[in-house]
Amino acid sequence: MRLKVPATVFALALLAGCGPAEAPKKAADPYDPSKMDLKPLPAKVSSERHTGPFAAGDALSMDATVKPLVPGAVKEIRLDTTHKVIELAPGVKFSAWTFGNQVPGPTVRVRQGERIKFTMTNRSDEHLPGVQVVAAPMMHSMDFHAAMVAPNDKYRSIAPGQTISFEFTANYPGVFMYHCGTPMVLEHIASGMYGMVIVEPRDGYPTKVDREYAIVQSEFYTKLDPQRRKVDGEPLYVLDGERVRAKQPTYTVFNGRYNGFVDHPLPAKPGERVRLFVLNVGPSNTSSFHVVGTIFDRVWLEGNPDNQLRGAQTVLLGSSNTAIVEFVLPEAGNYVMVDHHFANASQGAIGVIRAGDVPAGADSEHHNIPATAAPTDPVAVKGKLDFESKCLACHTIAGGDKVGPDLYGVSKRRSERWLARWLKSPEEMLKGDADAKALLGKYKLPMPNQGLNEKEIRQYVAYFKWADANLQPRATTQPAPAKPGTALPPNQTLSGGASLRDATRGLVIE
Amino acid sequence: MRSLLLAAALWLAAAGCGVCVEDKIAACYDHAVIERAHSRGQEVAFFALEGPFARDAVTAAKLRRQIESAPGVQAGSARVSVEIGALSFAYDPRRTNAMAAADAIEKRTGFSLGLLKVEGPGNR
Repeated sequence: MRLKVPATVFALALLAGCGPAEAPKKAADPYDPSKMDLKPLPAKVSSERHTGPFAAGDALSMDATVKPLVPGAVKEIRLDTTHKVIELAPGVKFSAWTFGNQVPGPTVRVRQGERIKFTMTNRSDEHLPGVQVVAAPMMHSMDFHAAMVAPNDKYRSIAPGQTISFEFTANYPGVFMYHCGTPMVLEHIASGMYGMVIVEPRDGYPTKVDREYAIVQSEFYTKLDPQRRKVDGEPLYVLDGERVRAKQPTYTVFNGRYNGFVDHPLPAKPGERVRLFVLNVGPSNTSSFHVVGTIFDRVWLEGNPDNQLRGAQTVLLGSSNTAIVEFVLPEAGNYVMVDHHFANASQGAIGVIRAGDVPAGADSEHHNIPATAAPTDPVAVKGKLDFESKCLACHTIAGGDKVGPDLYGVSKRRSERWLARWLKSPEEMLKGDADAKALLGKYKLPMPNQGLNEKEIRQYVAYFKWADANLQPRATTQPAPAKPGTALPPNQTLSGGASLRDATRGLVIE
Repeated sequence: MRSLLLAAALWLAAAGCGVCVEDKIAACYDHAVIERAHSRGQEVAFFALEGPFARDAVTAAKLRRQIESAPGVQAGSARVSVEIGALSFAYDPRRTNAMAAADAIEKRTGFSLGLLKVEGPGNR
């Protein structure tokens, strides 16, 4: 006879064997503070001046390609501070302050639980070869967000010629910012003093990838040097203190360069899985980081796999927030990294991951950034560059109306005199000019006064006239040259290739 | 004088972003002033600026003038950060010292100063 046992009785019998004494043990908290190193040693400050390389250590990656983790429980790194001129965009030489003599500073990669022995000499008073126009020497410091230490001890500011050393253990996995914490912190960060620390989980990441890149988004607030100094014949730009306080950047870029990864795409292959370590430095604006043409299979907020999203299109990063995003590149093509706040993208926060062989001449269209072909006239080239850095948030050239009107044909619709007056002083025009009033009536938003000088206005007008004479709108795609040979590819303006640089050398925007 | 010493002790104990001693010093640190001062055999003193005050350019300019009118203070050497609340100046140690200069500045300005650091040619 078959014995029938009701399911409830069977379940109760099972539970009876699971009394309190034999309850499964709770998993250990991987973030148990009692297991962390919370007893750092005091920092040491000396007047010993280091004279070797500005950055040193196996754990450092000097560009976007992130080196694999190197073995060793202790990572010794050096990041000296310098003042140097960087080229932020074609023709824009900016007086920057750096860690490791580059902007952003090198990326540090360690494993959770490893110890970082850090040394920094303040070398802001050193004259780099050939450069005499850097900022005055000043105090600097280092603030590692990856560390748990007393900031008044480890993050103290040191004077030019001094060296500070301290150690800490990377207790938490994640992607962290480092930056100078010396007052005024805003100015120090806005001048270029930041970088990324990657702390890989103790047991590594749960996924395997084919490529790893570090993407650092940051804002720059530039103005022409009031002393009108030049570097290599080009005007020097310095930090604009008013813009930085008003949170009005002139450039928002990836890895310290306007459209840098448009000019030099990050390589990959079709079908590969890519991991990006993304840091939004700010210092003041958020990033809505997105990769056109794919979906983030995984997003690990703050770079920690315990904070996971699946199937995300965009990750929102406040100032100093980070994420790891992983995705597959399904087929050959140009996949565009972009801050989906398109006003930021139009200031340079855009880049390309090139998967496989993309046909020659297939210029990236900058995903809704209507870059036109480039003029050959250097005056119009400057106008195009200014237009792309300042106007694309509201206008297009033959890409249709946005917040403001499509400016294709504007040099035919308006006289040159009218355009010059409008660009110079739109608020004055709105008081009495009927066409200006009609524009406000249609678009509802007044054209802001950009504070342009006569030379900048001439450059804009030259670009508009060139576009109207040489471009052929093509409905939904970008305008193309009207005749072969009348224009250069769009990236000739953006990259400032050798021939263009030569053509524009000596031009000064005043 | 007692208030100066007490303030100095408090500031040395303070910690945190923008308020620790080195941050206050950094806010009014001018490398060129220090180089010039040392070449003249002068010292440079750094102080925390206490009490409520308008954190604007007018206050900073007024403070600079008042600091440089104190006996023994080098003209053109005063640096003021009203944002952080710190000031520095170079002085001739044969004519005055940091505390005496600070007393004179306190009388002129009505502010309280907390000594952070004195930097001479021998103690950089």
